[in-house]
Amino acid sequence: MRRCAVLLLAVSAATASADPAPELTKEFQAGVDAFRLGHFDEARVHLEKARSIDPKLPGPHRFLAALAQAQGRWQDCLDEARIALAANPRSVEAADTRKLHGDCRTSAGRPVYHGADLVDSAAISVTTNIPGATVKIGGLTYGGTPLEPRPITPGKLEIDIDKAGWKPAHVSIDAPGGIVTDVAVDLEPDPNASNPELSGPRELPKIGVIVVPPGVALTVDGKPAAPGNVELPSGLHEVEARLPEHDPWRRRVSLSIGQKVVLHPAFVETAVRERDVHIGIGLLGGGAAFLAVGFATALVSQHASADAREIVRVETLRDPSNPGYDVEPMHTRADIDALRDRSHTYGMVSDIAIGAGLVTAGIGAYFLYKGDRERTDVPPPFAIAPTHGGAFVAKELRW
Amino acid sequence: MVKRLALLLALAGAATVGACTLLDDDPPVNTCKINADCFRAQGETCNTTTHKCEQTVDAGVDAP
Repeated sequence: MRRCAVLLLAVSAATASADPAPELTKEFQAGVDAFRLGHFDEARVHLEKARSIDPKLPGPHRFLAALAQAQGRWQDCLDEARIALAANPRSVEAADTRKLHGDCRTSAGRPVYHGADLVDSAAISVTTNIPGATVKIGGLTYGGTPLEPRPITPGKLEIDIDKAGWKPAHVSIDAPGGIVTDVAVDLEPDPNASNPELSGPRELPKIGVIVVPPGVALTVDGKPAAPGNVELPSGLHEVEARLPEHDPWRRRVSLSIGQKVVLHPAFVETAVRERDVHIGIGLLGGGAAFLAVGFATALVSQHASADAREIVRVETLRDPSNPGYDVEPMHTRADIDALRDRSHTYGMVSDIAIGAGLVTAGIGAYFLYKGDRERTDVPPPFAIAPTHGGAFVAKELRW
Repeated sequence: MVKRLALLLALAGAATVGACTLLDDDPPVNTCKINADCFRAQGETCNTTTHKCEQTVDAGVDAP
């Protein structure tokens, strides 16, 4: 694929500039040859010389972009591809150059553009060192950072970025069509900010507080802790609370900087839980008995039905003109009716028993699930806690 | 875990057996189209109106 692109670029470079300087042609061709041979450092020297001779020619920029991609210099790849596209946006190589730009963006870990194909339209992505900054483009609010790549009219764009407690930033960019333009801005703290809480995370304490009711034995991350206010560094913590005659209560708590999380352990009385387990086992046993009865009566019903069919088969084939036709045993319609009644009766008993067995076993399984002790061999579930802008609720089902 | 899996399999098996009994053929009923469908040796013939095998009065085994 790269060979194909190189070939196309070479042809383009050879035809696009109708009358380039001989020295430029020499350096450019030497750079292209070295690139095709895999001599990347040598190719870079020649191509940069060609670029310096005529910076407006797109060919050297395209090859420098391809070279940067081959060497893993993603930002150089993006820069050179942009210059090549700006130098000749109508070039027959523009599509390949745009693809090269997109590939380098992906390799550089930039947010992926998911919209419709960009042909003449541009796209922009804005990131800041502090997330949550407001982005205005041409005076219109576009959202908060990080701003995912989104289509926009190509051309000059005036971007204003604002966040309380930080100095506002203004950026002017040129967004060419067909590619995503990434804007990364580092906001600086505003020393004149009135609210010290908004002047940046560096001024906030890097701890949070977990509040646990008194009277319970508490361990946090495996270490004993006194109940009440427990100050902890921000991050994920595992809390285990114990109360006599109750099951331990284990939860994971995600603690943000300065966050106060109040936990209300929902203890389960061990005796009550174990009673549910016993009920569940009993019901499950009863269900199994019902199912066994259902299975046995189903067999009786099937045998009766099969016997009736066999009688019909034999008696229908019995030919009165054939000597010995009356060899015993001979069965009558009354025998068939008796077998049919037997089959129906046992079939009904079987259906009822299997239905009752399934229902009983289902109720038993519910009691077993209800009385199940929380597993200790897996990470505990997350504690429900309020967060900025909402609440996090999680429910885990396991078997 | 193994215990629960065994329980689940047992329930599935029982449900399968239960479903099989519902699919089982019913015992045959007294219907016919021709005399050969009836117990001719016991004197039955097919009543083509009711499509049921019926005993013929003089059709005993000793009948001529």
